[in-house]
Amino acid sequence: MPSFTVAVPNLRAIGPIVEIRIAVPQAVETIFASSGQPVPTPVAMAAMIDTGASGTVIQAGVAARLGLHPVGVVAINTPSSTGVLCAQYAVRLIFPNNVVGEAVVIEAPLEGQHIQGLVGRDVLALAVLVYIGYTNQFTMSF
Amino acid sequence: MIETLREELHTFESRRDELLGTSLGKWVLIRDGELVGAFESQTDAINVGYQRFGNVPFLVKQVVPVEVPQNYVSNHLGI
Repeated sequence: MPSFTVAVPNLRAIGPIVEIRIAVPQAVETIFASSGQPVPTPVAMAAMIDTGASGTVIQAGVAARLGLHPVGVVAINTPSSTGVLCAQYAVRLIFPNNVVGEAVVIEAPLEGQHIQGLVGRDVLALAVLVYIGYTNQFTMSF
Repeated sequence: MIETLREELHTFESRRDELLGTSLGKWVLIRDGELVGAFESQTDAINVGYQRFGNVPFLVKQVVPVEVPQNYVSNHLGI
């Protein structure tokens, strides 16, 4: 079973943060390759595993860096607003240990945060998350 | 970026009642105001969109009577 374990100096203070890379999905990689265009380099980011997030989020601007266009629109609720429409993008998520999956994520601003992404329950729906607070580490298996 | 899909969203909304009768629960693919088809999964609809149109904007949306928003309970998002 593909999995990775992350050790954080202070898991309680920092949260379950993992270094991931966001890449174009396989279908878009095929389009780039067949037209002779270089495939955009994946974008690295710190992302928090967030059980309070319905879906996965990437920092605003990442999709443009990857040359991606929206494939959907969804309404979201946050603590300060309701029914905000956000664009959705198909992406490939690359976790440590080369654990790879594809997802449809929203793009939203995460300014002022120490993270550039949230891994939400859409991904967790496919995974086992083991959070070991007293050893400051967590594991995700798919 | 949702402005990019404004025409597609308009098409979806204008045909919602019809789609609720014919494609309830399915995922529809819309591009340039044209309803391309209805698919069993979001992944199927997106893959057909890329195969047919290339790497361009298109709308894939599930046909449901009431759309439930995604919820984000923490203050991470600047929205």
